[in-house]
Amino acid sequence: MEGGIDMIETNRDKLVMISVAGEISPAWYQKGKPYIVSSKGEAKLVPMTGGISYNVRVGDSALGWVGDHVEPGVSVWNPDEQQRLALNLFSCIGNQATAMSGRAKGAKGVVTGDHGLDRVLIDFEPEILERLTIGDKVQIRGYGIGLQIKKHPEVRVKAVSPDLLERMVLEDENGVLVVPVAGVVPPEMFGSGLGFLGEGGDFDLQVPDDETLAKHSLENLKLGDVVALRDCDTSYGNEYRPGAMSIGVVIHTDCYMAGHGPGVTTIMTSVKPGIKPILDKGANIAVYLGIRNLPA
Amino acid sequence: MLITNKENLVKLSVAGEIAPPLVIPGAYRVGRNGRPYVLPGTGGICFNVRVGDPAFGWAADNLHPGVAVYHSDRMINEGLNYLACIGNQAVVTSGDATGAEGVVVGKHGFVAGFGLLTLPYLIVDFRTEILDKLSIGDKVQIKSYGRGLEIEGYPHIQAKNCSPELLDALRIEPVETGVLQVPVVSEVPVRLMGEGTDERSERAAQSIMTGDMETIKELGLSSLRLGDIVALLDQDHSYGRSYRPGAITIGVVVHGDSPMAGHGPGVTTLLTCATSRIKPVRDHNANIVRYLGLA
Repeated sequence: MEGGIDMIETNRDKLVMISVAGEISPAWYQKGKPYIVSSKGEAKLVPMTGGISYNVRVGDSALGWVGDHVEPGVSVWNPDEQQRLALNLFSCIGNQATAMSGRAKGAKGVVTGDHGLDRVLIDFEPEILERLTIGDKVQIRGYGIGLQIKKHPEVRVKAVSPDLLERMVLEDENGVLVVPVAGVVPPEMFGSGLGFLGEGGDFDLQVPDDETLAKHSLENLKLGDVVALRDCDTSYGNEYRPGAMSIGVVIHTDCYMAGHGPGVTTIMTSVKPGIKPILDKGANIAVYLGIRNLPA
Repeated sequence: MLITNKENLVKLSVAGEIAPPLVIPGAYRVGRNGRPYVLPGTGGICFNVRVGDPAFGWAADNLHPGVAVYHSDRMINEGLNYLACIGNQAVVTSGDATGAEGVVVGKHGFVAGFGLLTLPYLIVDFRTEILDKLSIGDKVQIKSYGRGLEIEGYPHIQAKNCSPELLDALRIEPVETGVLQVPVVSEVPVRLMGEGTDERSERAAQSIMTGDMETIKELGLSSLRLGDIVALLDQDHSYGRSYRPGAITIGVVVHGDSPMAGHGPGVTTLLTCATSRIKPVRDHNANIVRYLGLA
């Protein structure tokens, strides 16, 4: 570590590690509709959420795919509503997942996102993907809910494993939490997820055009990128709050539908000053979790 | 006066009933600051809040003025919510107030998991003396009229949820080629626009977020009234509700403030343009109470 910058201390030894489980979700499509309607009035028929995404992985671009809300890797859900809620609320980014049935039984993966209080996204090695089947059972060691940074009770930590948080967040000599981020997102880009609870799900960024991306240096946004949401409070629901700061992870791809776009699962939020994002294009969970190096 | 295709629009019956208020199992909702609360919210007959009253200050959550009307069958409710427009005539078709007439003054969505109404619904204004004769469950039928409304010469401006009568009353003026000027009480910057951004713009409302009341006061929004016409800047409601730099949307304030994060007074879409060819002009009289003769 550089001089004056230290690892954070947390209450990790008091957290409960609990099993939650689901199964690999089929690819999902809207009921009774062949087309989704884009924000520009185009009728689109494209892949959406669910299934095993063979060629979209954490570390790849979040933009430009011919798809809507595409989830990298494996999408896991639970058909029972209450079990699904537990699956999403207790699964934290960085938690270990294990295939519990089928041809890949015993294979290990890692949680890379919570999507829409509905699905948990898991990364497995490409050779494991070849052996997975829709419907295979996946169990997750849920660990991280209730996590706190000892000297920072004002910061709400959410949906992140203690190991990952410790790799992502440092504390400077003035007690400020320093978080390397791949980009800083302004409030006018916040979209779907506003007004919803900031737990067990994500929050979409709206991408109206390339100019907006360029203006905020977000044109290379990747799945897995750690980003800062400026003037954003996700403590008890997602909303605009001047001076607040949230940190999140990009979990799904861009969208055609109005109000939607790349989804961010938030992992830290504070309405008070104390979180300081610093730009680092390498701030991506694919690197932090040892999944892969980022493509050039 | 603008020339429209109103002679070609179909006037069609849609119907529902007065919705009961709901409370979430376990009672507490949790506000933006983490404080649990139990407050009246959506549904029911609101006896003491009417369109024209303040949007802020009530001990309530997403409070609507007047009467909430929905249909408990989800598909039938879609017809009711997508076809009815602000300014449409409503009539009570059962109970002690049978035959009494009202006016649609708002459309409101729902948020799963909050214990508010779990279906979108219409907000209907009746005169105060009629409210005393209404019961929860009374049937209300509406002459839906306005879907498909177009303004001749302005194909880049879409009307949404706006009856032809209300469009005529909004005091819209052509000011330069392709540009329409619309009187509004306030202008709302895009960073304040919250819940409802993923809803179809042909129903429901989008909330003005009130997590920072200082910003709300600075922009003069804290004195908003139910029924006020407002401009939403950089908001394109052509096909859903999205952020688009330069776009502009005109809407009407339909429900009150909320303690929930991302929520606040709701705005139902009336007009939208993906470019800057609607010009808002400030006028504190721009309220549908005046436009629809609801006094």
